[in-house]
Amino acid sequence: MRLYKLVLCCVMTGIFACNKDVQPAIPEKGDISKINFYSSSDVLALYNMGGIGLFIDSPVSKRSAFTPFLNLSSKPQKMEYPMVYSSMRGIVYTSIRAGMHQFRFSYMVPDTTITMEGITPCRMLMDTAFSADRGVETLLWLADKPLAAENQEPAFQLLSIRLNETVKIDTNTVALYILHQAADAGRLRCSRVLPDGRLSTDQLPQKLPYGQATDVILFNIKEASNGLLGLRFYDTVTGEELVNTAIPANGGHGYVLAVQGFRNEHQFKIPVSVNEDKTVNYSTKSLTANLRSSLRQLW
Amino acid sequence: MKYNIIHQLTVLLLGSCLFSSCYKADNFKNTLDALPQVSYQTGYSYRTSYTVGDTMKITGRLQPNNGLKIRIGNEDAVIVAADSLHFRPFTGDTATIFMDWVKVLITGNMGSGAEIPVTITSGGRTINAASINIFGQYGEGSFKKSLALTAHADITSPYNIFLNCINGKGDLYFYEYTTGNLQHVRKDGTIETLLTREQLTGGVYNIQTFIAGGVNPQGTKAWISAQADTTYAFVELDLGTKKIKVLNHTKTYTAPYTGGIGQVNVKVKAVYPDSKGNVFLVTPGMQWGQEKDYSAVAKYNVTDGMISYQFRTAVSPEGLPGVDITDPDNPSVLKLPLILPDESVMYLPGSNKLTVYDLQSRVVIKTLKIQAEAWGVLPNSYTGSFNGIKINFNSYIGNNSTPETGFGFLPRPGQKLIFLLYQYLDGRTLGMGNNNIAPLVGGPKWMAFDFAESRTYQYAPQADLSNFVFEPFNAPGKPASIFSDQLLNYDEEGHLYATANGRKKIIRTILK
Repeated sequence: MRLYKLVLCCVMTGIFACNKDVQPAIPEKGDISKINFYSSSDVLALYNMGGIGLFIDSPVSKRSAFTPFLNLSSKPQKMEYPMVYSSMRGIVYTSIRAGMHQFRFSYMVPDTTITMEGITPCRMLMDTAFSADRGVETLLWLADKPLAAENQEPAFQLLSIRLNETVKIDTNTVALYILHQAADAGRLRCSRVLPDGRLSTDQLPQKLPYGQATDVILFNIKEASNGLLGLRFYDTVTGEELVNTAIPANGGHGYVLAVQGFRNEHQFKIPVSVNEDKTVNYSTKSLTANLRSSLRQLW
Repeated sequence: MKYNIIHQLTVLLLGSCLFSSCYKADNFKNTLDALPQVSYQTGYSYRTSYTVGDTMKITGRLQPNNGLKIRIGNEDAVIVAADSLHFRPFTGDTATIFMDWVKVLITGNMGSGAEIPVTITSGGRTINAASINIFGQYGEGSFKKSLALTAHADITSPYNIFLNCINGKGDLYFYEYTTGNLQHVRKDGTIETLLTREQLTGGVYNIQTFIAGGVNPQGTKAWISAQADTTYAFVELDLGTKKIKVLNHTKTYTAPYTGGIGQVNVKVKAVYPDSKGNVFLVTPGMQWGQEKDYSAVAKYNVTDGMISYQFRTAVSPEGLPGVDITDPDNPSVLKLPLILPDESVMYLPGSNKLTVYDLQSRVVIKTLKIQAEAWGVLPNSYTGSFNGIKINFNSYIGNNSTPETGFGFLPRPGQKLIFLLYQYLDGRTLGMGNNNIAPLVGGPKWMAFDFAESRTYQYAPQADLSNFVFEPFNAPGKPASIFSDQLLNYDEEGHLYATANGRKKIIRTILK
């Protein structure tokens, strides 16, 4: 009996001691969709306690039950999942089984009065269903939602761009998506600056509403000036110029340009601490006008 | 007893199992250990750009005694030094991992330009390390011989005002203070009167003070700004027909600022015409009730006669549109920008800093901050990649630089700025008394900022300034002039045209 045990032990050792070939795990036999989560909220930057927990109805990969978490108690706050600081470089995607999924974003508060990290769900910020199709790359943003009134608890919205997988570009072309994330900016009109200084509205959105993204826009890098393709955003109604920006004329690459931030100053009711009985204390904080564009490189 | 034998056999079997199954993995670990590795961590990584003659320090697992060979571009690099160091990747880390470092010489035969490959062979295994840029001492348009100066044309007064015209053909235009004429200095040094005092005003206004002007690169039209009897006048001159047209009279500088040139209020402090019918104008600002010379950049479109604003700053009048380019380090200062409109480029001088803007799309192309060399160190690391150079400007760069350190800053196509470096370098910074120690660092030298390649290069090996000086600066026994010299234009051969000796001379460079 003991012999069998020892032989079994020996075999087990043989198997486990050094598994010499590591098989790459292909989640769901390739039936996966790729998702990147990013926070573009300026209101969340006012928080100094807790975090945003993201709950998905299925594990994001086979190997761990890791859950994306946006820590709001540390500066700089992590804006991108998983564990990538806001950067201009390429985007890291999380693989998820293709199909319909439910996403919940919860504000998490500390479970003691002395710690700052979010442990306990406090308020559901968003509960949304989203179809992640096989082989598709999707970018998701947790963005500020247009406000109902001043001095209220902030609201958020999940915005998305599905990358157009059919678009093929060469080294003379730059691909661009424009996403409107500025909650109080109204509809946007966009123009491009031609090398001679004239403006063109060709291919560009003229009434882009909040939350909407354009389909992919292709520019020829020959139309750049000093390596830049200038873009201007105006208020569709008043014609006031809101944002002046440019994208690099980096042929063969793609970018997402987000118009984000607030056009005017606003007051928000922000959680600042927890009490012994786990209730949350709030304080009014103001966010100054900071309408701007931000650029992320897709590929 | 029987049990003992079985037990021993089993242990043996178990042991052999372990060994056999681990053999491949162990072997693979040895393979990994033998591979050369390079550290790219901050503080250990090598630079991305080198100039020929630099030494490059490579840190990593290199094993110099194991047949180390470093190949850069087309040539095996010569290892000039090798040692090892304690690798402490994080502050407070007490780990004592040893890493090797070697220093190699960068030579011209390795290649030049971007993406020169670096391969490292050690212990018979080769890896591709991060590629580097190798730049020569010289760049586009550089002279291989030294440049001296020669008197080019005689001028009568340091109060003459030169009109902006960087056309690369050696033309110089100035308003002659003593006669009131508009003069043209041809490339051969002869002077012609383009418009006489009477033609310049056409009898419709008087020039009390000539403020600024600019000539288009073709040399057919000019725009000038002058203080007339009761107004500020902005005038278009046709240099061929000698006809003038007063485009704008402004009494008080208030809104409206944009619209038809005849309807707006505008004061013009500098004029930069392009060859396609745009005239870029620098306009003044106000702060604490005082007028500031420069605050905003406007665009006058000759075709439709409209004036619009490209840039504004914190000292611009309220309601004046444009992209705000206020320097957060010095919010109440706007130095005169250097503009090359046909290239759509504007260089904005800052304190030890230059910001390059695209003039049409109004966005930053590049920002260059330049550190000074440490006190007591000869400042000779001025050639090469922007991230490695040190120049003792200690002031604003551009028109407002201190000319003993940097003079000129002439914009050229391809995002280049030509300047004279270290006309006078005070020996006291090195404890050497009040001597000019510029020759110790190879100065004075004509240099170029190349923003397209993010580096400086030598425009000419040596600048012989004998009999001439670019003002204003103080040196022992040499008081500063009150007149600022200007680098004005260049020609097809690359020779430079400037005022010298406090605007008393017009000079140009010649081969020495």
